[in-house]
Amino acid sequence: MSTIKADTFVDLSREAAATTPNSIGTEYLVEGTAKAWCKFDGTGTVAVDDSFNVASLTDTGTGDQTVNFSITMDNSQHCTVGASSQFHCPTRTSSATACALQTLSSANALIDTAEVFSSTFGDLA
Amino acid sequence: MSPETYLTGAQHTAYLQYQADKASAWAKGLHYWQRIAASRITVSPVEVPYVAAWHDPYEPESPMKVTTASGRCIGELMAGGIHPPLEAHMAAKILLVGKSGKHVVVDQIDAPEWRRRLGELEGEWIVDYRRCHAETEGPLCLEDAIEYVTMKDVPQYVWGVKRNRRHFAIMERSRLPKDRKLRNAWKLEEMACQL
Repeated sequence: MSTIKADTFVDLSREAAATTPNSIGTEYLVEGTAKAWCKFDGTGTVAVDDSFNVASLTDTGTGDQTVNFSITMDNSQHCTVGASSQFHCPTRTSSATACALQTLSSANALIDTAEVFSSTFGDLA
Repeated sequence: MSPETYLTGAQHTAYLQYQADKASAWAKGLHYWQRIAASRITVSPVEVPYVAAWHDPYEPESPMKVTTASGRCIGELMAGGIHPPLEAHMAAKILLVGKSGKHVVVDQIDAPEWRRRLGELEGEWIVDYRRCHAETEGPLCLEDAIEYVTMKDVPQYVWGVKRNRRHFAIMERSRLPKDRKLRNAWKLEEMACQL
């Protein structure tokens, strides 16, 4: 594996135009990268379709699942974004080690759905 | 809010050393997350035929919970050299700060119990995770890999305490009813004879 060591990436096509930002520090790439993500099927016996940095999924009840991370986050102040193919998908609780998601129907009732997505941003332990 | 506010003496020293070791591991490409990221192109996910079914003894009215391991994580554990030993996860230190101001530094394995005791939390911080960056676990067989994930992610007060009623079982995925209403009515105790 090769390593590129750099502090900043610069967009050469916009380098001459001083009016718009044209560079970004490499730390932003790390800070802005999802530290964990997961796609799972919340119907029947829940199953993780694919994931990154996710050890397991706990089905705690109808429309209520907890995503357990492999490497924990540095703290509980991370940002987890949930989405589903059909329903509203808010985050219920977050800890350093896991994040609980719900899927809610338009009537605000918990409901299982086949495609649920989550991605987590924040600092790693 | 910084966790350093709550740490004194040896805990504070360990926290500073952990931060230094984390930065060093990252610079060398040995950080636990970097190991997982690098494995994505070399390790394939594995089909997981078993799940952990469990009741939370503190929520007697809630339905049975089911923990299923990620096939990707099981693949990584079976490949070896990526995840730390289970003991490293269990021994990682976490600072829990309650809304009331009470705070405690506990092993990660004890955190679910302490979260319950402290009630609503102001926040929580990992304050020592050095072993997880420094050590790696060798290749595991499928059963050991599933046990690893289960023991890491199911609270210890579920699987580590012997109780009169059955609260925990690892079983074949196919044994669980797919229908939610039927499954919500299940109790592991009643299933015991079928396992």
